[in-house]
Amino acid sequence: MVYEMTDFWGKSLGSFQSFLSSKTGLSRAESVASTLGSLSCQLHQENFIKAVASAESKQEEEDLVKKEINVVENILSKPGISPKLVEQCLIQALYCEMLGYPVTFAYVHAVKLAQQGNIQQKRIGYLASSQFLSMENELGLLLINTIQKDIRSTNVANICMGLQAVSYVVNTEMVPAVSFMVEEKLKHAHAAVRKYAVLALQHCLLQASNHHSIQSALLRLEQVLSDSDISVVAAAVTTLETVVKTKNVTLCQHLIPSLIQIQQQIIQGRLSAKFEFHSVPFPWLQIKLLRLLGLLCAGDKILSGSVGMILKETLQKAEVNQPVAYAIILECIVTINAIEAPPEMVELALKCVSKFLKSSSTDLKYLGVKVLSGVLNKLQDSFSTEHQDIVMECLQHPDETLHLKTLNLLYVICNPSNVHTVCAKMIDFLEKTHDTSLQRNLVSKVLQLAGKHSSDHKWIIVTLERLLRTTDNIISSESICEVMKRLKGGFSHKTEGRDLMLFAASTYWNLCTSSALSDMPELLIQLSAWTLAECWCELKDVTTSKLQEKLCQLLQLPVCSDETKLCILSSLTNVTLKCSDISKNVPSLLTAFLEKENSPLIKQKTNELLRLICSPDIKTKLCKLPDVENIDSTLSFLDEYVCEALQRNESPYLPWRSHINQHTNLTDGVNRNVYSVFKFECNQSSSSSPVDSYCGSYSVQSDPSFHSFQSSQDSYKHKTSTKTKKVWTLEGRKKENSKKLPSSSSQESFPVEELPAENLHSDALLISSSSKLEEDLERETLKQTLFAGVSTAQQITEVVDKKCVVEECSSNTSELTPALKDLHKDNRPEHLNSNV
Amino acid sequence: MIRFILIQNRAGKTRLAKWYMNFDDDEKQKLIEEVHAVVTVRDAKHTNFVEFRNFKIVYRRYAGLYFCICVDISDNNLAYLEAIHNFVEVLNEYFHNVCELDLVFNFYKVYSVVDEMFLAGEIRETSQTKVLKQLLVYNSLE
Repeated sequence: MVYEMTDFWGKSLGSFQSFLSSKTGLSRAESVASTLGSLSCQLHQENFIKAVASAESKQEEEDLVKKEINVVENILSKPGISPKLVEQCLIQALYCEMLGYPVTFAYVHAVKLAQQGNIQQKRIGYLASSQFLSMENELGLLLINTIQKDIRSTNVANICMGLQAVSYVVNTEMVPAVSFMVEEKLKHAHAAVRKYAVLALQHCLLQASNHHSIQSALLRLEQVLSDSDISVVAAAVTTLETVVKTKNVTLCQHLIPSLIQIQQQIIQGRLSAKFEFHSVPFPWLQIKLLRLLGLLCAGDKILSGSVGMILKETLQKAEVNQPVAYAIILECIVTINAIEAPPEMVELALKCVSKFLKSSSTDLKYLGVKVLSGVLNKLQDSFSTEHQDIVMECLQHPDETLHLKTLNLLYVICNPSNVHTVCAKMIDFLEKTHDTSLQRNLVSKVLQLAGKHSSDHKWIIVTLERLLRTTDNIISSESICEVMKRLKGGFSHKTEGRDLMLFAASTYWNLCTSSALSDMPELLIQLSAWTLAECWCELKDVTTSKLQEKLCQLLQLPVCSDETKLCILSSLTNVTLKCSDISKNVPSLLTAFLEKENSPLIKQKTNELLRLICSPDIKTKLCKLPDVENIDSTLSFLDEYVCEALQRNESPYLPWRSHINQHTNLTDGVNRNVYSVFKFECNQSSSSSPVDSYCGSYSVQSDPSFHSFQSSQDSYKHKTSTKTKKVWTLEGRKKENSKKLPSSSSQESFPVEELPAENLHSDALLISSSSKLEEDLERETLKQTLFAGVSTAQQITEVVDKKCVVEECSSNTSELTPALKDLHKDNRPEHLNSNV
Repeated sequence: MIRFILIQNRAGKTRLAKWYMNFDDDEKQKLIEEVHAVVTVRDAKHTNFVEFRNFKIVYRRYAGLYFCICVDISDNNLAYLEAIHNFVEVLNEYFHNVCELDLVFNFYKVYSVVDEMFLAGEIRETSQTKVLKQLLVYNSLE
């Protein structure tokens, strides 16, 4: 049916075209064509839409749409068609584009139609252009002319359409062309024009890079704030908020009193009834005002004090039982969080949050949890039992988003007494979710919490195993290094060390001898190998030969990467060094392994190990090596060689820092050839000796730590000039070399990281929002140390023992001041019935 | 700031798509599919807000249609939820007890309603009387 209609349309069009091209009766033909055309077009459109809607497969829909696009393209490509027809075609094209099939040929026609045609066609032209064109599209340039003409016209509708189009098409280069006109329209007599002008101005400001234009525009905006029409004021407030958010806050701080005044007028009901939404006066403007006030007063105590009054009043007025009112309350809470609010304001916010948490609506609960952590940060306190109950309920809610938000909250309030539970909850969630970024996030959180709060090594081992089983590919080997370091520290503990070693060894031995060996994640294998090598002697029933054979077996596992194999080899070496008897099977197993391997590093290590096993005298020699604790990082034994080389006028090593310092002085660009730079400097310097020029050109920082060099300087004083020595304290080289020196323990095959200072500020985790989460993830690396656990995760059953958790949490409420405690007892928030 | 507005039915067919940010065509399609996937699995017990990439979606279901607005993370969820409701109330008035078919057959009129109420990624006009008055003017032009 549709195809017939299309053909009919095509045929009728063809006949009309031929009719039109004949010179007689042109105007009559045109009018006939247009009316007939419109009728059949309308019908055709409807049929097309119906057909697409009832298409049974994607392929069918695609076929229909593509055919339609072809027809439209054909019509549009014919010269001299009427604007009315173009309008109809554009509507079809719009629909197709909305369904996802691009119609690039129609873009030009949209622009053209906006230029010509009557008001309706102009409207369609602009509509189509706004949908089709983006700011990067060059066709926007064609439209600019039309926009300019329209803004300058006297017809209000034209001006409005032109201003509207500004926000779709104008990019940074085009801003100067329109901004002046837009600013002019800010004073137009008609309120609608002023409103459009403000929003167009917002768009221009966002696109503009010039600071001066922002200043002048802001001045104009301030004038608009006192406009007689409230919707224009609303537009101005919106623009100000965007500007303040993206540019500088201080530009607009003087506007605070006028903003407060506007808000007062609204809540006192001075606006006409048409601005009310479900009996709440102009809620969106209230929200925008509050947001803007929050932005402007953030961090400033005095300013924050000035808005306290209006916030209170707004909260009072928003006690209406309407969903919109909750929006206003939410915004108030967010504002209170953002500014330096006095304590009674924060209490008020807490009260509102409790109401949210108690409501039966999931939305309100979610939002309550979201802002709760912010409020709690302000109070610098943990929360009462009621809140805890609510939070526990949220954890078990079927909605995952609510669950997540609660976990964030728990993360913020985590401390040594509840860290086990919190981490267990997080791992539970981790096991259920499949979203990798979420997993990454949670894993880093668990590791951080564990490192920060817990010192129970056993728990660390168990939890880590659980973590590794769930999310093997997310945890990095650096964090495993950290674990090992931590465990090693635990092993060397005077009283608990042996106990821990036994526990660790037995856990990992059980893992390695279990039947599901092939399922073991790689990092777990690494960890097991290392731990067993450290503490297998605690296990009474495991002989050295058994352990060695087991390690060789691990080596053969297909899941092992090169890194894991190196780790196992290191463990084997460790074991071999520590004890004297070696299993007879080990050399043969190793040789077999060697033959299969391709990597030269692994082959090297295996060969070394075999040599070690086969020749016991090397072993004894190694064991007798002195403890290499004092590393001469300045390489003082090479000093003589270096000074001789310098005396022969050889160039010294330039540390990277001095390269950079040099290049900033040069005017001839970046010169990567160091020696040519050096020579350039040499020629330039006025001082005679080449040695002098060295110190002249390089910014050398004297480092007091190189004592060994300083002491051995004395012997060289008579040989070289002092200036040469100064040059020679190019500590960059020494620093680098000290890193390259081999560490005393050969079993660590991956980099050993320093334990970072545990300076996580809880303020840095104010209002939980996923953008903050992602920032946290990047900031906090997985280098933090892990934890030791007592209770295994399995002890916490699905039915959460509320009392247990509450007790753990309530250990913090002892910090609550008595006054606050009373406040929580007395002001019991009522339950809300929300109609959301 | 609003990133895009989407009206979809339960089957995933787009009834309206308004973009306030630059996306390629295939990106747009992908976004539409993702939004549909995220929103249709949620039922009444779930919140009306979903974290989506580095934005969030505020949505509400009316009969068989999902009205979704994609906003920045820091925006007030409830404000946009009510904005959706406001928009639907206007549509209801304009089309006299609106149903999905109304939106399908008059899609360009729906675009004008959207443009009246939202512009350049912000809520433009919230007064229902004003919007309806303007729409009636547009109607008389046709």
